[in-house]
Amino acid sequence: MEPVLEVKNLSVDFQTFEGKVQALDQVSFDLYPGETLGIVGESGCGKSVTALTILQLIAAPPGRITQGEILLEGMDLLKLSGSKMRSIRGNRISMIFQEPMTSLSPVFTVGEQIAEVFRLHQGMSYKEAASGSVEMLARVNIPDPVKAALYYPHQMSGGMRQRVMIAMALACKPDILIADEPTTALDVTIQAQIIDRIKQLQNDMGMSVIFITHDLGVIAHTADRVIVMYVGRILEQAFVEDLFNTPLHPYTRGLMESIPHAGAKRKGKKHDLKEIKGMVPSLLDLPQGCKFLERCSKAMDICRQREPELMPVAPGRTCRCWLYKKE
Amino acid sequence: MNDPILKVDALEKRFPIKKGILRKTVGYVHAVDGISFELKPGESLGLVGESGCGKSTAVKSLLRLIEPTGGNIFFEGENVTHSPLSRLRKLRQDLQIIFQDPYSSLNPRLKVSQSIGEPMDIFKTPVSRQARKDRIAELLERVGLRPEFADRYPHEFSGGQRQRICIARALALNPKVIIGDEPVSALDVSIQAQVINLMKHLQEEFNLSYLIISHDLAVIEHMCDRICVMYLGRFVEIADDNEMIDNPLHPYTRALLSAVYEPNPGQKQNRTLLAGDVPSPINPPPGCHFHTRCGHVKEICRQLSPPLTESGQDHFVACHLYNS
Ligand SMILES: Nc1ncnc2c1ncn2[C@@H]1O[C@H](COP(=O)(O)OP(=O)(O)OP(=O)(O)O)[C@@H](O)[C@H]1O
Ligand SMILES: Nc1ncnc2c1ncn2[C@@H]1O[C@H](COP(=O)(O)OP(=O)(O)OP(=O)(O)O)[C@@H](O)[C@H]1O
Ligand SMILES: [Mg+2]
Ligand SMILES: [Mg+2]
Repeated sequence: MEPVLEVKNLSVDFQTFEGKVQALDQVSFDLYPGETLGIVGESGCGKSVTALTILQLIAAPPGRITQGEILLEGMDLLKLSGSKMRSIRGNRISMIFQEPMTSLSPVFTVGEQIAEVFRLHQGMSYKEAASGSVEMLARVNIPDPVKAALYYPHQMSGGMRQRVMIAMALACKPDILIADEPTTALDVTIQAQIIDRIKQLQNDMGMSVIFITHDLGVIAHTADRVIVMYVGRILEQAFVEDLFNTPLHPYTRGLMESIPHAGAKRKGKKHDLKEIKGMVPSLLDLPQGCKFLERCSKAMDICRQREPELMPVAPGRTCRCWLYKKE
Repeated sequence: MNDPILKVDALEKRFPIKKGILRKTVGYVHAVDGISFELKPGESLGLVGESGCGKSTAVKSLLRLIEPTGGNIFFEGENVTHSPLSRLRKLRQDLQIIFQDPYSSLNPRLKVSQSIGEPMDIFKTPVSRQARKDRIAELLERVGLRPEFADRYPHEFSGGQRQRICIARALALNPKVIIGDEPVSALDVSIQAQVINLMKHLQEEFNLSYLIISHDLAVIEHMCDRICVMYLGRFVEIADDNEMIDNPLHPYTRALLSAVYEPNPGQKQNRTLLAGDVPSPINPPPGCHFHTRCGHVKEICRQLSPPLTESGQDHFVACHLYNS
């Protein structure tokens, strides 16, 4: 199967007061039709920058794409004009953001905002667009959608607003949905509703999803394949079962062991959690060699000298670690 | 020895809602609606519930950082609900709080040594400058930081390090109880475990009692011996940690547990998805607060609020399903 999206060697810099930071360093991945690709990693590792760069929503300056290609069915998005790109955003690729309040307009009703998407991308009449927006609200399980269409965003709860965002993002049946921490600001019981909804709509519409989160539990139940990022790089990439059953990179292993599980305590009463020692290095002051070096219990001489490449280690699986270098 | 160190009885906090130029009170936010619990010495009690259910308000009112509008608070047997400020100051040496956000809870203009030393200065504990300095160095070491960090400013530290500084500050006066309001929620996954382990070790070392608040059930279950589940200002269930996980009774607790995403892709989870949103605490529904989202609702649930009753050993639930 051909990938619907190919990201190749994407690098992004930001000019900051303290100096230049490289937020993405040669990030490459493919997205296949109908699949969910999860991106996990800690705060600041480059998840949102990856998403925003695909849609070309990075503020430039301070941001700058220094190299790479983003191919949508073979067409390089980085070479498109501003107006061509606008016709792709919200139409073929759309995005849900972490904080719905910042991406919804406070001065229009939610019905008007969804209708606008229909009119812009599908040239619908006002009437068609209005009934389309009510239908979308119903599809994301908003009770009494006819009335809800008349609400302004501030009249809705966080969970309702996030569902409106999903309705807007899916209005034009995009090929690709990018969901950047869509449930992080929500309560757990609401999170379960939203994730369930995204999955069902994905099944109905057959779109591909890039699902970004820092929550390994959520990734385990939403993604088919997973990318693990650390300081602007991909450290490991695998099918979800492989990643959780046999994490390879010492960082991925550390992450898996350090999260508390509900009910796990019973087995080994009051055990300590495993820790990853130290902290994430600053992008302004990255170590030589492997970027995980200072926190790694398996560090070798070569790790200090040279940063490993992202190497194929098994079918459909890559890992950036000297431990898995085949002679 | 088994007398509770802290006891809260029917604690209530209502915030008035004022409108118009006359600032007339037009209603109340029922943030905390009559909760009761006991904290035993050396115990860790967890308080879990979703955003806005009143967790922070509950601990702020029991510390009397805001004044409760009803109920009683006992510390080591003494009723401190109406104690004067002079008594409260002494009390706050014994009861320390750590907040969620390690970024805003440290004054950016104070050096670490000043932040940690502040409670000692207020309560005039160690007298000599050298004793103060030694104590700060000792506290920094206890929370896994280097003593020379004392002369640095908060912005020079990462989130996890700042939370350690807050913990050192909380320990400065040898408290008996530490209250953590989402102490690890703002931290990165790889740093959370460090802080959770540190807090557990300190608890053993100093025989501290913990009251830990979190919206993350896995964190609560890991850190606590006993768990209270809160919904819209009230406790719906209290039980020991394992009992709560193995045998949840209240439909809300069950939904909360089934909404946890286990980091295990093979495991098919049967989720009980709750319909709808949490109602507003301004006009909470009559009867059981949960009845608007409950799959087992009966007529009585709409009218009568179920009391918290013992339904197994040390297992309390507030639900009409178990009241026969
Ligand atoms: N507009 C900007 N100006 C300067 N630096 C930026 C800008 N946007 C992002 N960065 C930097 O790029 C890096 C990656 O940021 P990004 O927002 O992608 O992180 P993230 O993985 O999404 O983290 P989080 O989980 O906190 O959302 C960070 O170090 C950040 O400081
Ligand atoms: N000073 C105040 N005045 C009016 N209402 C308040 C005030 N403080 C809190 N509330 C309300 O009381 C309710 C409980 O808030 P509280 O902060 O205790 O919740 P919480 O359980 O700590 O939530 P979170 O998980 O979001 O921190 C909320 O509805 C909140 O809006
Ligand atoms: Mg982000
Ligand atoms: Mg709170």
